[in-house]
Amino acid sequence: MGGKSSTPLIVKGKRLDGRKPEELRPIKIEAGVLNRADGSCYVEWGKNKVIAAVYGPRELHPKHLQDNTQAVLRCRYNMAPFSVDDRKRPGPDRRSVEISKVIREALERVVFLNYFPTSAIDVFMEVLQADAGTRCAALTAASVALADAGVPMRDLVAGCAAGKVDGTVVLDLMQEEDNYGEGDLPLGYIPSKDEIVLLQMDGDFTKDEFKTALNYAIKGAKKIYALQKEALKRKYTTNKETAKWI
Amino acid sequence: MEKLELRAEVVAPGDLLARDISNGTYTYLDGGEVKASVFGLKDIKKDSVSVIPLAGKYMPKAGDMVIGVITMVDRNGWEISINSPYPVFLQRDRDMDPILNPRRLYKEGDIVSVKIKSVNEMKKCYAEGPRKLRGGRILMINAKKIPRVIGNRKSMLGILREKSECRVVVGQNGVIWLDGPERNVQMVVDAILQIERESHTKGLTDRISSVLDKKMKVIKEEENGRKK
Repeated sequence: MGGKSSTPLIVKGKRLDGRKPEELRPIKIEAGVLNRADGSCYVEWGKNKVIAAVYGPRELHPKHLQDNTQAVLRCRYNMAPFSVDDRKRPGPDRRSVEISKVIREALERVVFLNYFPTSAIDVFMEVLQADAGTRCAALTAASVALADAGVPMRDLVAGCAAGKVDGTVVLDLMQEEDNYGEGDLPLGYIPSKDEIVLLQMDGDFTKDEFKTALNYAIKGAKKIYALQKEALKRKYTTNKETAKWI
Repeated sequence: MEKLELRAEVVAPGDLLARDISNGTYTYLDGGEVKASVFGLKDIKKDSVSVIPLAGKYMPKAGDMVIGVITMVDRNGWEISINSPYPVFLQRDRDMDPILNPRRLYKEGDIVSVKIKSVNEMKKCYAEGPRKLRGGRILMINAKKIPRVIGNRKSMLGILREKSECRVVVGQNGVIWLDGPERNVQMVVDAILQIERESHTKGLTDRISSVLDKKMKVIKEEENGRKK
């Protein structure tokens, strides 16, 4: 958000990359890409590239951090210095600490943490290339990686964002739309329960716009959810063929 | 690589398995619906439905035989790391000479096989019946694939032991101890890794059996050649 674009972002109902308002970017999800991690997942979402790794459940040290009733879920969202146009100063900052927290809270809703008292489950999400909507891509990757690690969970969480560009509500913002648009609405969603586990909003929406945006995002998340399941199952139904663009 | 036939349907967390049936392992009830809680293979039985997991850490269970490494020794006993979120404790015998250094029995780095005596609700585990494993080779695989390495009524394990002429001890925690001639051990390692890779497919025992036969034939022929 901020600044106004010198050229219109939507021309004749089509966006800069030719998508319709209610269309997602092309997405590729691949499970089990890292050998040393207990579970992992790589997501390419438009120009976003995110990799997630899960370690654990494992022993948690120091001992005072342990919880005797359930596992401690630790999430780290991090952007590579080369993931954006200007070099991103490495290390956690205000933004990535916040994103780590909201993703952790979304995942805590689905993981059966009470199965693993005193232990820790670590989730690492690295953004290799960013093009708006990385928190949704990271959440999507993290939940597939958790399932790939064999962690018991109620369901997978799918992330998807909607937004407002040139006064029109659109699904799945890309970088230019995020920078010059009027609003962004990232969502974390559990389709089978119809439960929202992450919802943030940036910019201005009227009540009606918000409702349409939320509907768009939920529809998008349902599509992502199908891709997540397919990615997990593909790991065993084909013999290590590389994932294809869908 | 030829395509192998799956032995059951692959399910992901949240997948609906069945309605109005009792839920087995790695599933949960959501209203009247039984859903999968892990990524694995669907396993339908007469009166229940469960999931056979394909990944995940070993969870200690009383009665399991496990293999681990001694990581800590103190005057109360030994702590054994078993490739799981929870270590097991082996308590020193009460009638053991109190002056005796416990390291005389087992010291850090020793490989032991133990039986898990008890697990409490905080997953603190106690062991019994220790046995030191000297020499040999250790192989760590995914603990959830151990049932396939052992096989139905130990069929697979029997084949591995008999055909390779090696000593094989399998821990429920995914740690396998092997001892025998170097080439035979390598053959078993390769076979076990193949079992781990193809655990979700049908006809695995027969496939492993024929692979072992072929390799043993080569080893035997070379041995005979050397004698002549």
